[in-house]
Amino acid sequence: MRFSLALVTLLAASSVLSGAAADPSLIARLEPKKVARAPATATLVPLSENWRLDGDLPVHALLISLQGLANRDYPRLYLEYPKSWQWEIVRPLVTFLEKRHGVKFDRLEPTGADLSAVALAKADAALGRFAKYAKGVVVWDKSVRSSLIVAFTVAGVEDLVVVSEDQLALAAKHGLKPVVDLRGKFTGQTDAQIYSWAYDQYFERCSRDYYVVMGGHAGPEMQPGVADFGIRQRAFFTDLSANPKHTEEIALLNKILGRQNVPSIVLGWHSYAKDTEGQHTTLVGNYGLIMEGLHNLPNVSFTSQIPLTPDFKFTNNHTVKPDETRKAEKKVYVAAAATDAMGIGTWTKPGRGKIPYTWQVLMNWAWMNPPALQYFYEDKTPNDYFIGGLSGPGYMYPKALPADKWPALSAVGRDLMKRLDLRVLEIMDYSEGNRHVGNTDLPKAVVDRYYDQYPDVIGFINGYGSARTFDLRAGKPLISYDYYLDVQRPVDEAAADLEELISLNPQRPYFLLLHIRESNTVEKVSEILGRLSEQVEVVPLDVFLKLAAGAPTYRTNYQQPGDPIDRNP
Amino acid sequence: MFRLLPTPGMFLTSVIARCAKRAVAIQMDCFVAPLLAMTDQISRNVCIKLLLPLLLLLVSPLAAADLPANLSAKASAAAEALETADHPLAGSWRIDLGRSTELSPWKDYELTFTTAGDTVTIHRRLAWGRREFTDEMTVGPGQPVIVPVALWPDNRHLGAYIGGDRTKHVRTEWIDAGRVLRLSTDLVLSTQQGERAVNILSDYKVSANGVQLILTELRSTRNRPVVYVFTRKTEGPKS
Repeated sequence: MRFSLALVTLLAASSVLSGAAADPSLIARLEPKKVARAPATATLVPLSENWRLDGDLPVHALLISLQGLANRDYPRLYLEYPKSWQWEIVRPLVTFLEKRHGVKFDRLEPTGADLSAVALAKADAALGRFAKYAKGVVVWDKSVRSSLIVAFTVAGVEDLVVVSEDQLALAAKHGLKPVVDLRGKFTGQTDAQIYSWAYDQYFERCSRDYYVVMGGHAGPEMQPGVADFGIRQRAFFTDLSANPKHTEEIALLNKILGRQNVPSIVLGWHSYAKDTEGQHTTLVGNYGLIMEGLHNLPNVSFTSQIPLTPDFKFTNNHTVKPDETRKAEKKVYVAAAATDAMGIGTWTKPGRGKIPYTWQVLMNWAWMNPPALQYFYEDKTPNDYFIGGLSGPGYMYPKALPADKWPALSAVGRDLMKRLDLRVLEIMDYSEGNRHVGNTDLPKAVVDRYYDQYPDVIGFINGYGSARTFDLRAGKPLISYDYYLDVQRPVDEAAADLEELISLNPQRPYFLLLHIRESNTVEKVSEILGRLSEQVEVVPLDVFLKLAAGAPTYRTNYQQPGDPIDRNP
Repeated sequence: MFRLLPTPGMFLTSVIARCAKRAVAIQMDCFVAPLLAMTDQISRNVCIKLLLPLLLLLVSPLAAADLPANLSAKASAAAEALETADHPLAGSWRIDLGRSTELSPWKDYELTFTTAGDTVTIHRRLAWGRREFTDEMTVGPGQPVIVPVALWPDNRHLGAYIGGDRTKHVRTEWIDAGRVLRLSTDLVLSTQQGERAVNILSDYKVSANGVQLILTELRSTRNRPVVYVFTRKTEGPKS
């Protein structure tokens, strides 16, 4: 025992050295096995707009669970989510897979006037092809929403399709009999009680590398787009709360997170009805785990197995060399970054390519969702520039991560940045505030860690809303966002906001970093910048950072002891 | 041809007539407030005692029609009536988002005024879902009041934070017998380049019928006025 502890300590100490290589076994442990090449044919099933429990959700849950099982050892089934789906790349990715990987999709699309009959016909057709990958069904209780989330766990562990009571006959038609029946089991129980039962029954057989928080939309709607991947990985599913006021739920959540491998993946999103993004991501970070949102990220059981095409290499649009210097003129420099927008924002909307623009890449997609990243990299215009995020490999808050968890995560982060040709890392921390209250700044000790553990970057950017952490070390600036462009902000008011910032910062050069929220289009940003009375120069982020390195008109600043703190209740 | 040189009286009439045409438009408050503040050639008292009652009268076309003949008498009567009225501001108000300058990052804004003599306590609540900011200050005419500031909430999407000694200095003026509360606030904002003194001129103006409050803010660093329209939530207490 003493020897083991000494060994662990030694290993930990050695990995603290900056620039240490990533442990290759770490990603290998997490990474779904890739097929040699994408399938020549695959089945495509379109889904409807209706995700209500009393609507099409039961059919969608059946199909998603079937997808997780059918795709467990090979990518066979792709679901075409509706056009309004938050992750907007579902359809462009089909075209990409057809063109670049030569996949031919066989579309199962029964038609008819009776929509519920059409939905059942889809399930019937899909079961006809893929029921053989299931050992039976798990029946969820339509009167207890959380029973569906438990059913996803059961589906993965027992290889069962998720069905509701009224789908039993359909399942039987395809030879699938009930193996686990949750009807009536949870009536009158709290979520803590329900998931405790599931924990006792199934947790030991679930993955220690994947846990799914099946939250997001709550109440009468559920959008379990990521459940196929969770089922494939045999993950444990809940929508447990990280809100301290839910004492029983958070106690069980702590128990679950504490049992997972470090680091490992938390898929999905917090429940909109129970806790906050800040609370949940902070708690996940406390355990050194990696958050990979979204709850409705679709088809990962399919895409995670498909490798990059042999002729492809990740290449970014660098404008400057890492060791290059740039001299700033006495003017206002602007750089615009969209951090939520690769997949759920404006990539496919008008205006992209019009001005230099930065897009934050979810770096774990390099191994978890390669075709999606290849799609973005190949679809970029000369004005699109990629950066790494968010705060490391995955979504994490640096202030919430224990110091001893940093080295392993940073090593993975460095490795992924190199693989993806990324030279800038974006940092965000909502553990002590948000864009409304509290602060999103970094104390010096955290900034020290970033400079120490990401020595190859040309700079960092920080914030989500505006933040006031600034630094410059060895020609590598850390610049915080000076502006957050809200989706609702009209062009005139946004232009007035920027003019006010320009007035508040009279020295030139002034480095104005903009965070462009989600569905704001590049076109809108371009229009706002065109309204400014003082001429500004919009530059690529790497140029922006090099100019800022040469003319630090910003003051070094870290989070101060007296800064407001808000725990995102 | 000769050019008619404007006199203060003509200037007033011109401004009033122009504003009267747009009496219900938010812009009126944006432009009248600074005009009032900048009209040096006319004493402030004259402006306050005459201009606002006249504006209110002109909102009604009938009243506007007999303006020249009854100007002086009507204005004096209105001013007197307002001077003796209860504090029209007193009570709680909630923002009308559709008629206001876009409020992000907030989605809700409530103001509560509690009056005691010529002092007023202003409670402010800004919220976005579960996120909320509240503050409170008591101000009155006379010397500027120094108010501690925990956080500058006016536009949290800007990289500008409370700086200096984390206080604001507030000068208060009651206008038009309490129908208008004017605050002139001096504070220091901290930005990436350092600290910057900022003045904010805030006019809290109650409509003639007492059910609408318009807050017009002019920040020395901002080229556009900010206009928030509120509707009354509760009856104001009688003082």
